[in-house]
Amino acid sequence: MVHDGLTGAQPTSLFGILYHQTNATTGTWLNLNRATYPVELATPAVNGNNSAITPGAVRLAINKVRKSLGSNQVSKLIAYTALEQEHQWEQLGVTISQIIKEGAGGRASDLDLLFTGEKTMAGVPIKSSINANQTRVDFLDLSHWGRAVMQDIDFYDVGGQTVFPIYGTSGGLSAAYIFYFVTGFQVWNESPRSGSYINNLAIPTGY
Amino acid sequence: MENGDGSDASEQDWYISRTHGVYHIPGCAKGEPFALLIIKARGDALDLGDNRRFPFTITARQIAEDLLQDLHDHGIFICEGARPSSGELATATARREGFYQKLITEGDTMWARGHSFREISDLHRRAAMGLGVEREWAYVPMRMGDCPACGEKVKIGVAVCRHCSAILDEEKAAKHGLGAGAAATRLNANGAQSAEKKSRA
Repeated sequence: MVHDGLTGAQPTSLFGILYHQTNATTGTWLNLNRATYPVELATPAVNGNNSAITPGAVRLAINKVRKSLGSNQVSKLIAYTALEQEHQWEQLGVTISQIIKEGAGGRASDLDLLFTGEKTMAGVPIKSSINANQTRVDFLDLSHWGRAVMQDIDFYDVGGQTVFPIYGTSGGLSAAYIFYFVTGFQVWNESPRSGSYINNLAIPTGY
Repeated sequence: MENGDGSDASEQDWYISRTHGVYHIPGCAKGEPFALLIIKARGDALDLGDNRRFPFTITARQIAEDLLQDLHDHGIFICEGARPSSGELATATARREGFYQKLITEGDTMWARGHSFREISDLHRRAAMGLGVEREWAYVPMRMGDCPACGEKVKIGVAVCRHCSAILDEEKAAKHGLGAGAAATRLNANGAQSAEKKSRA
């Protein structure tokens, strides 16, 4: 995640999922040299091989967390992914769907060939976002993630003034004003091996 | 080793992100034996606080090995020289074909269990296509033509229609011993043999 305006080959900005959840053995992680801790800092990964998601890949990703922590040590995960991968997952479900004609609080006669309820991957709730990477599914244990706030978000304040004039090209005041929000925070993760991810997944046609 | 030269004998592109850069391993273009990615050493630094930094170098070999991880099976490898040798390419190809064979076996097993497409991934299908193996679970759509005689769909460029046995390409059919051309050739050959017998008598 890099803010607009930062330049350079490797600008450091807000850390995100791609920074914390990687199986890299080179480079750095939170000021540690990854080469020194190639196993401890590597998040278990499943290569999607430019293919559509399958239940086998999901099973493998979750089991990799169990293998790295101990099968009983896995906390509550969420499957954070993009709408594209949620779409692919639903497509897999369509092939085994059946229409229940009874129950459902009187709505059973409504024909819905797609999915509207809560969706899971092996019991892991899916949290989809338009901001997620289109080719990944990240299994996150949010009890190990957090946001370190160094400065609460507030108006940019200069001696009590939070609204500033804008000058036009003539040097006179424009008929507008400007204000800024400032904040200081960083996203942290204290246990990169508590999650896993599937990457290089194919994006369905149309997106 | 100053440069870690990675070679890709597969047809797939790979993008790999690291804190020291994003690397693109190009897929091998059709007809080419390999694609090459030249990797150079990179610098990184640890922030020690108070404006003190601890710079360190990541060697090209370290980067190349990190990038490969589970990609060896796809025919990607680090070559010892500036270009991959024929021996290295043959080893990589053999490894990839072995991987593909394993995937095809896996696909067959999964298909036999329940004829479900859900568990069979695109990678399994790509393996079948890569080795030119026909499988029900790896259907490859192909362009077909209409037989001018019966109107049924036939593969493009075939000599004989599989439905009505009409000769679609006489030259090709004769070459394979089919059709009137082949019969005429056979007759000519028989005629020549009988003439030879008569002259002997």
